[in-house]
Amino acid sequence: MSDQKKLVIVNSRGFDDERSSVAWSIANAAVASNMDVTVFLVAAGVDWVRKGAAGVARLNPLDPTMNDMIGNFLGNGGRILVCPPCAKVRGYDESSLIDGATIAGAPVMLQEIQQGGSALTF
Amino acid sequence: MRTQREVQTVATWDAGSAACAQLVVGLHKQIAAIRNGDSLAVIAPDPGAAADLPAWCRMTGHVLLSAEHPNFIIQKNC
Repeated sequence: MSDQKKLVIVNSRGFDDERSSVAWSIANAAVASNMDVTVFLVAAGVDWVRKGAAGVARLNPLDPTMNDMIGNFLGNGGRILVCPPCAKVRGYDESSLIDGATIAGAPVMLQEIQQGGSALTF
Repeated sequence: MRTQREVQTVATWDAGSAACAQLVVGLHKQIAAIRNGDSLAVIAPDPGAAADLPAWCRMTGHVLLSAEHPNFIIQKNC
């Protein structure tokens, strides 16, 4: 029970898709359940961690704002990885991203799974 | 599992309409604010709470002392 279970959530959904809110909501529930959680952002999902982008976005009125969910996730020990080519194609570098988001690719994410983590994809 | 009247609680949290992920996100914050061994009364009207709160307790190690939907009592255990 005290052993932290690893979970990887791959989120490819951006601002135009309610599923991205579900992904972040589940990520929040996972850290609140003492799981070791990594969110791997790919494709349009990368936009969530561009500085200032989440702002007051709220894709589901019954969820908190996206900004609050991302902040709560990081504040509770969640880890955010950003797909390098997905960031590059958008013109983002480390300085473009919020604190706590790290540009790192598939090997880092796969390492979590190799170590016993489960994966959810959105 | 004990009845609600047999358990002393130090705080009550009314979860209101919180459901699914947000129910346990809120509960996580409430549990963090009490001492280990103390118990929290939770009012969780969402129908999913009857299954979600026992599952959360099994994952986190907190003890579900009482479950009479929508009233729950959870003892902090970590």
